[in-house]
Amino acid sequence: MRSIALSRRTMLRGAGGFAVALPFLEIMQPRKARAAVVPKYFVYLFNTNGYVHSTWLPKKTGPRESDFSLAGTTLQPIADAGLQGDVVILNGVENKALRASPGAGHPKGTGIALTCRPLSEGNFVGGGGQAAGYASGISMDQILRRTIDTGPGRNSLEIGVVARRRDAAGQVAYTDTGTPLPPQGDPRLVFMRLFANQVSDPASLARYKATKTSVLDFAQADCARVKSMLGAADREKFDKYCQQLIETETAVKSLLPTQCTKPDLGTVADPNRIENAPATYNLQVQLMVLAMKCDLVRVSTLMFGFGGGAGSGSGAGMAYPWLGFSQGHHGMSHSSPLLPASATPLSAINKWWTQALFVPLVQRLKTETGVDGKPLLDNTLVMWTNELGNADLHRADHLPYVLAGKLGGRLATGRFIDLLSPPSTNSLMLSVANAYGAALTTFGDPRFCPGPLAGVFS
Amino acid sequence: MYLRTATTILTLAAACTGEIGGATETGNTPDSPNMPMPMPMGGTGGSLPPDPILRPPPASCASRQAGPSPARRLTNREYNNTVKDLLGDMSQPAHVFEDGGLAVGFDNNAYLMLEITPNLGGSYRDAAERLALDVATNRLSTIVPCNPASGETACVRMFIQTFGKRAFRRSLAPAEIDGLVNVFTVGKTQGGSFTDGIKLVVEAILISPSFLYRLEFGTGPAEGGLVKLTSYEVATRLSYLTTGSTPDPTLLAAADGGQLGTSAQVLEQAKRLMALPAAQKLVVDFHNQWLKVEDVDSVEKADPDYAFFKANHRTFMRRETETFTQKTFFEGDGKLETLLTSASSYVNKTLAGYYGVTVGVPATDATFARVALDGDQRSGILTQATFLTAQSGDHPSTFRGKFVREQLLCSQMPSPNADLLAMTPLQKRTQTSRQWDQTIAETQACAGCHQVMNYTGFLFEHYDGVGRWRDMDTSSPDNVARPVDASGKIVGSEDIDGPLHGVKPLAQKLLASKQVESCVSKQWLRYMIGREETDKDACTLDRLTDQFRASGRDTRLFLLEYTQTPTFLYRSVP
Repeated sequence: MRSIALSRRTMLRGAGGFAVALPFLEIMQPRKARAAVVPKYFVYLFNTNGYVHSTWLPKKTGPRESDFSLAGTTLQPIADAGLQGDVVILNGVENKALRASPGAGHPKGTGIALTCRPLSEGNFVGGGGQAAGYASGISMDQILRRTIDTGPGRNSLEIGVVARRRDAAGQVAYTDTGTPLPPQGDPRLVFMRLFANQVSDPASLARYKATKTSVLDFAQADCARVKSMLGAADREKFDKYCQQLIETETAVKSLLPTQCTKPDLGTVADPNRIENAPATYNLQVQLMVLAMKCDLVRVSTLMFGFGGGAGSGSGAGMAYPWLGFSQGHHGMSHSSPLLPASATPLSAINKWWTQALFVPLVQRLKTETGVDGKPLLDNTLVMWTNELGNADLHRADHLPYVLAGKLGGRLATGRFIDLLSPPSTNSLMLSVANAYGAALTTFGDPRFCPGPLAGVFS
Repeated sequence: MYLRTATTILTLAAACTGEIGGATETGNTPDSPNMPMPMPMGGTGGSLPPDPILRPPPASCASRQAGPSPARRLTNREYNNTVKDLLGDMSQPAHVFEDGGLAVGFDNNAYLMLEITPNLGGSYRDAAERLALDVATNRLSTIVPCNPASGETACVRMFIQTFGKRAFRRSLAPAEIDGLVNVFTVGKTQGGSFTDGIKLVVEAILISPSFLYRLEFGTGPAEGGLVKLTSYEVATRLSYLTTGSTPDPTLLAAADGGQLGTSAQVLEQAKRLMALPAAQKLVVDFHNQWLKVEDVDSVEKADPDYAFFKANHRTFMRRETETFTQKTFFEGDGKLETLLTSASSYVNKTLAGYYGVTVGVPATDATFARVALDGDQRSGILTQATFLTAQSGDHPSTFRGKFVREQLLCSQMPSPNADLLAMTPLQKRTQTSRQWDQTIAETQACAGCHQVMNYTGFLFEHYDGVGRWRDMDTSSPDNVARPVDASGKIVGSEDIDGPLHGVKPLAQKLLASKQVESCVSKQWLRYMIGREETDKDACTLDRLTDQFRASGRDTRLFLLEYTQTPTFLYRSVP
């Protein structure tokens, strides 16, 4: 097992020497003060290698949207956990950009999931030999970040669980064409990013700011010197790091004392190993929800696993050994998944996602309260989907969308919406953006965006 | 121009310089941490690469030219090596950093790596904080060369000058020294101790672009678009080229003393560095990338015929190939012929079963030993389980053929579009994999590429999906065993077209091909320069190819010869 010498003690000391949150006066709680406008949150949970539609589809039990049953489906754990009233299930959404995109099925499905545009041309070669580049355009989570994430020092959170492909199948978030935001797969580094600079005692915070500013000032001076000597071709890309240093310093200087309680990570099982994926997921979600609770993060994307095979030679990749499958998920998804013999194990994986990924996430958001004292879920939209629908054929119609959370009252939950004339993901995303207050009129490739999807958000 | 010197092995002792952290075990690549490579076993004992042969310059060298010299960010591997040598940190922190992308087959492409994403930048800053704290707390005396009790101000400056030079791979400007003295003062004031000050200086250095990037600006006037490198820049290129890490004190001292100004001096240092254990890791890394060894890590075998294939067999296979390439280069003759035709290899108990070897086999899987394989069946890396397993899957002929065409002949196999992929022959398999791939190759829309790949791949039909020899093919869905047909042909090559049967004749063809000769040179060049070659690298590439040919295709000469070429010795001014 790979071991990384990152003891928790080291991290906490690295954070400024204080592991204990000290009590302080109400007047020193600026995050609460800022919360006069109740913040909204967005969480995107992403699975790969498609799903079995027939065993996922809820059964209608009456004429109303609230008349549906999850019994016997792979979504049944939602009902078992008493969360049926907290979700909205959408059947029929298609990411139409897939058909217009270059590249192989899995990079396409992942790269277009939140951008809703064909991938750019490029040299990443997929499992079937088709080449493409990264996604094109900005992803919806980043639009939401710009819309709702206005405070200093806050950023979106991209986290993954064994999601380390290098091509367009490696991430869903993009600030722009060709500028991916790959997920951080190591909870220890997520911890450091989120909580290392969370200091509660004003004297320690002052020391933290002074030292970090000094370090960042030196690096910025080095950056400026190097930049002036670089050729134009290198300078622009190089400058991204210089900009990061400036932004980080701005963020450090504007840090305020926090009363965030740092989580105890305990022993972290090697996050690069597939068999540790369930444990890694739990840690990542724990960190993410805690960051939301402290209002450090408002927009998160969370990738579980990765699609396709990993080698050029044959199909491998993500696997579910803890469910007793010795075979890789990607290979299973291509073994005639419509036949009962394969549908059963594939459905077992789908059901495990519901039970072990989606339900605990929603439950945690329902239990934990945000800065306004209400359950986080009230002000959050959780969107859970997959890179593909039918993975054997690499299709992106009938994508499995399950939403949860009330989004500050914009989403009425406890509904199953069977979309008879299938809308594009573009329309769904546009309606999401509008629900968060972004004044967009189109999203992604305009060819696939006739307008927002009506009837989901109010 | 350098002279052909008598076989000089006079710098071996330099392997024991006062390098912080010292050397680790040989050839243990980051991705197989549980499988340290064995130190020498059998063989003829360590041998250094021979000197390059003095040759008349190729015509392309009439005017001095070199391709672009972009800023290079440290690869994650280089980052790990660098913090190990600089700080004595063995934790390989970059293991969890974002990967760069692949370009022209290698993971060190300067252009792809130029930008630092927000996540990577965050990882750099987090790692800097942790590494600085760790070295200041646990190994302060290894980086601070003086006692602060006898004059703190002077000691701080001395530390900044010596450590800063190693970290930035050049002397620091006075303003930079002052800047770091300020950082020290803030650290000491805020933290309370000398150690706090040193810690903050280390942190500041580790997040600075001068550390994270290998930056070159050259010196003196440009001639024909080229400038000479400073001696520190030469030292840095040389060090990362041969050891994948920051210059060691000996090399820095040579740069200090202006001892890297001639190509002969560069060659002497290159030979010294090639004797260090780190060079062995680098050579193995090149072969791993060139031969796509990592592909085997993700292979799964769903077919019940391969139920015996376990996840750790992938590690065994990989270790076999890594040991083979390392020993061929450092203990053998380094010849392409050996790589492609050797009938011996390194196996443990399990792999011996794959090859049907019974003599000299280790009793367990923990030990690997050099054994003689069946000379009628085996031919170097072309028949090793790593390649045959990694390049297999549902279309073994296609993947194995593609490997030969791309890695050994440097052909570009374009990607099929969605329309082609949707065609019936690709989707439906009714017969053996050979028959299936034959059908695809005969389908008009696919023929252009698949005849090139599949017909080459058919030569490997005697090897099953995990590299075992077979005479009967059971890959058909009807489970009927049919005799293997390993006839195929090379089409679309520059100089080796024609019908063939089996792998051994293929190896002989490849060894007779100028296209292969030029391709292997090109693969080494791409890895060494970390970018795709351009027209302006023609002289450099011709010199490598020429040296390769003149030496009887000795792959050990690439690294040394490259240090003598304009692409290495000069910087092209953008």
